[in-house]
Formats: sequence, C-alpha cells, structure tokens
Amino acid sequence: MISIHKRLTFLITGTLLLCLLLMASMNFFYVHEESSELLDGELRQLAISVSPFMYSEDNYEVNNAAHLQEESDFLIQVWKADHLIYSSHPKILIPLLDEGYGNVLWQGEDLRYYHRVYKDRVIQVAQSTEERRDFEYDIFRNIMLTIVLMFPVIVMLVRVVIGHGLRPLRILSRKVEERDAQNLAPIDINDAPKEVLPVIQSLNQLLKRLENSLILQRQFTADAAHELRTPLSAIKLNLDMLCRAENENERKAIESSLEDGVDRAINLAQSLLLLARHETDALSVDMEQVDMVAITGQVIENLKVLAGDKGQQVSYKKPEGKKVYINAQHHNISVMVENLFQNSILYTPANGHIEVEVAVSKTNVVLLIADDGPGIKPEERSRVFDRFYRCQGTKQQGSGLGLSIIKNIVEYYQGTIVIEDGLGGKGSSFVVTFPVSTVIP
Amino acid sequence: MKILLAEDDAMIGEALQKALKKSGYSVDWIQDGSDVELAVETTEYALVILDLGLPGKDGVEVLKSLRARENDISVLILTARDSIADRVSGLDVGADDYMVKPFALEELEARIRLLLRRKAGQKINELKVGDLALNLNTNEITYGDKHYTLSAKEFGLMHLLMEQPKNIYSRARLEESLYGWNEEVESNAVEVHIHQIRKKLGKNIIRNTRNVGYQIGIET
Repeated sequence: MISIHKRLTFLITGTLLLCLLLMASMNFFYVHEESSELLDGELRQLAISVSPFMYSEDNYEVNNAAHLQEESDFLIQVWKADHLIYSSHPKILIPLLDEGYGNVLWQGEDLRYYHRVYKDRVIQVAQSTEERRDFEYDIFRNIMLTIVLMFPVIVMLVRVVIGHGLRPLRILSRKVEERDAQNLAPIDINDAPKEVLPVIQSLNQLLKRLENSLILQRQFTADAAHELRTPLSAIKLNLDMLCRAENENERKAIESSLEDGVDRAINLAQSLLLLARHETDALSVDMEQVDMVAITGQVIENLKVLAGDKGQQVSYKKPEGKKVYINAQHHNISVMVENLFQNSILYTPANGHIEVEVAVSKTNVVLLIADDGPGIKPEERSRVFDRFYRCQGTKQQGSGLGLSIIKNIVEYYQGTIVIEDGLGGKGSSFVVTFPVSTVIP
Repeated sequence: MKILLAEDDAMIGEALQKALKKSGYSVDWIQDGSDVELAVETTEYALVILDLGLPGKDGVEVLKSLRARENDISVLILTARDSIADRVSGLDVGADDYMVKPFALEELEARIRLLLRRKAGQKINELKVGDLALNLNTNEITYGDKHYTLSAKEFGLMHLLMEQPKNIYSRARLEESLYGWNEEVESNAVEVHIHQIRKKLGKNIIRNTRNVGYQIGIET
C-alpha cells in the first residue's frame, strides 16, 4: 500500500537533507576562504601595529615555549639587517623569510607568517596553521550542529505540513467511504481542489452509472416479482378450487388449468434466466462470424414441424448460394431467430401463412419474419418490446419477456428491430437489421 | 348477488369467475379497464373486484373516475402491487378493500361477504326475516328450527329477496342478478330455482304477484 503522505515526507526530507549537505559543504569552502583572509588580515594588522623600535627583551615578557599554542599565540620577530633583535618566542627560530605572506616549517609544524619591512627593520609575525584550521573547524562544526539539531524539527514540520496539504484527499476518501447502495449521490465538486477534480468527476460518473444500473436492476426485480405473482395466483386459486371440486370432471378441468399455471410459471422462470444469462454471457464470449442465411434456415428446419401441426405454410426466401456474415455470437443469434419464428407460429392462427426472408445490401442484412395473424396495433408496436408487456386481449400465455430478450440481443450486436404490417395488410412483420461484416457470393 | 370482475389475466379471470359462481355469485368478467365504467352504469352490481394493472385504463384511474361520478359501488382491489404506497393510494382513491395476489380463495370470499354485509349495514353474517335466517358464510338457511342447505343459485336468490323483504323483484331482474352476461339461461331458470326453494322450505316462503314479480313471503 503506497501512502502519499509517507512518500512525500520521505522525498521532501530526503531532498532537504541533500540540499543542507550541499549547503554545508559549500559553507565549508567559504568558511575556509573567509577565515584565511580574516586571519591573514589579523597577522598583517599585528605586523603593522608592532613598532620595530619599541621592542626589547626588557619591555616584554618572553615566552619560552618551543611551539605556538593557540590561535591567538603569535610569534613576533624583529630583525635588523640579518640580526634577530627581538623574538617573542626565543625558542622558535624561524629564519628571515620572503616579504609578504608565506608558510614555513618549524620542527614539523607548519606556520603561517607575514614579513613586513619597515625602514631598516623587518617584522615577522607567525601563527600556527593547525590552530588556524581549528578555528575554521569550530565555525563549521557549529553550522553542522545546527543542521543536525534542526533535522528532526524539519521532518516533523514537513509531516505536519504535508498532512495539512493532503486534507482534501482525506475528505474525499471519507466522502467516498460514505457511499453505498443506498447513497450514490454525486460528490460535491465545489470545494474540491483542482488536482482531484478529474478523480471526483470520474467517480461521479461511475456513481451515476452504478445508480442507473441499480435502478434498472431494482426495476427488473420488482417487475419479475410482480410477474411471478400472476401465475402463482392462478396456481393458488386452482388449488383452492381443487379442494372444493365435487366430481371427477370438475377435478380434471381444474387439474388441467393447474398444469397450465405451472407451465406458465416455468416458462417465466426460464425466460428470466435466459435474459439474465444473455446479459452475462454476451460479455464473456468472443465475437464470431455468424452466417444469417444458414442460421435462419436451420431454425426454420428445426421448428417447421410446429407450424405444420397448425397447418401453417412457411416460406423462406434467401439470397441463393450466398453466405452473409455478421459479427455476433452464434448461440444468441440462434435464440433470437428461434424466438421470433416461434412467436409467429404461436400467434398466427391455424392454416395461416408465415414468410421468412433474408435480404442483403452492401452494408446491411435484413431478416424479415411476416405473418397474417392478428397483428399488433400500431400504438402498441413500440411497447411490446418492454419487459413484461403483453398485448391487450392476448390469449397466449407468454411471459411478456420474449420480445424484450430479442431486442436485447439485436441491439447488443448493433442491430435494430421494428414491427411493420404483415402479409396482405394483416398480421405483423418483424424486421431485424444488422450491419453486415462479409458476404461470400 | 352480481359481481363485476375486472382482471386482464385470462387464467386468473377464468378461475376466479368459476370459483365465485360456485359460491353463489353471478360474475361478469371483463379484461379491459376502459369497459368497467360502462358495465357499472348499465348493470347493477353488488361489488366490483378490480385489478390495478389493467390494459386500456389503469385500475386506479377507473376507480377515480367512478368516485368522481359519485358512484359508491363497493370496490375490492385485487392486485399484484403490494407496496404500502400502492395500498394507500388504492384505498385513498376510494377502494373499500385491498388484497394482494397471490391470495387464498377463502379469504377473498370472506372479504367479499364483509363488503356486501357492510353495504347492507349488517354486522353479523346472518340475514334474518321473521323465522327465516340465512347464514351468509355457509349457504345454510334456518326456518323455524330446521336447517336446509341451498344450492349456489338458490342462495343467491334468497339473499337478494331477504335483503330487501319489502321489494318485489321482476323475473328479469332476478335473472340478471343471478346470471352473468355470457351464461346461457333457460327461459324458466328463475322459476325452477324458486320451485326448488319452495320444495325445501314450503310454498309460502316466496310470494308471487302475477305480472309484477316475486317477494319474500314471510311477514317481518
């Protein structure tokens, strides 16, 4: 789990630490430069302020140490011609050196000196280089100490500041947490920072889609429950009547109605299952090339016997010898054609006519199933595709789901379905149009 | 007692019509909501059993327009819509009772009896005229201290006559209330039923006024 808070704290304090170290090393360089200049200046100042005529062993205390001890411990020599006439440290015997600044070794110890000529005298002032360096280190050490002491404070401050900066994200996450099936209200974008705006907008779109599908789901469940009640009521009613039946004939009649009711409930359950399965199947199975001419012929071949039973005449007109492919899934297209054809057989009275035709143009393939049955009133034609809608006065015990399943399938494969007048001004014809993928002549 | 059944589902309508007929009611069954008003205005019904999800005109709309015309016929809503909101709106627009499918036939019948009784202003399930007592639950009639069981049509006939003992009902009126629209009625059907009743309870139980009609024969 990545925490933005931890990550930012780590990155920012890391960057800060790096900068501080860089600053420190630059400081070290500057401190060295500046303190050298400062200490050289001091040397020179001292050489200038020494009057070469004033000094004698009588006036000044003489230091007998063999080394210069501290930073403020200066060796002062006064020379006349080649003679050393005065030395503050008689035991440190550096020779007469070049004029100006320079370094000289005395018993393994490096000394920084300044050589000044004044009239016939020479003043040489020297200082221990190591002591000078200690002075630099002291300054540098203090800088480093400050950094080290400040670092935890910086880390803490960074943490707090980042925490504050991430507040909008925390608020957003709390708002998202509050959302569930009962509360899918969009998240307010007014007080959101612009960096998370795209996130909130996508979230709101997701919430909207979720809500829509939930509404559909609930509507469907309510419709399904409502529809299941009807056959169940019929079954219950007939069962109640069965108890009251007085003779065998009456009992037989009720039993037959009872069976119809149970069949109807089974039918409805199957249709519901088909609908649910189509919706999940369609997503999980790959598209394939489906030959509309062959599949229609197959369905007619399989179901012709049903039409024959009712004395109905079925004709099938197809583009001879052609294969017309659409991009779809074989099983679903087969279910769709089967349902349409079955409907036609069911609603067309005995000895009626059913005409099936597959026609192909450059871009589309059209499946037409027409009959001379009772037809569907123009004002009902758009509503028959609604789930559970059943035409007025219909005697057939359908679930009211068949056409809704068909439409679902057709639209899933970018097709359209409309109802037009049927044969000879009677009945109805279902016209299904799909975009064609390939035609093999 | 004549009942109008407005139910679009063929299976339920058919079964319910059969069941109620067996219990002594005559039932007219229609499937389209827009036919209800015409039926109620042209025929005298004791009760309407109304489905809500009717094609043509929704049950609630039908009931609204009935009540708007000040028609106070008893209406029992029988529907698959079971939400509280549906029940409340059904009762609010003027239904006398509300039942949800699936239902038990016995309960439906009990509620029908209750509504009919309420309409007649009775509290108990018995109709009394003098020594004559008709049990509305069991189709039994008591005359003096003897019990008789009546057939469905006989019961319907006695129920009508005993409810308004002062009224004289014409043969056509009795026929209309005993039979539904599409039932085949023998021309002397009413006379046959009256004959059966007289055979059980005695000749004087129903009085016949020639060319006017029939009336209960017992003084109240």
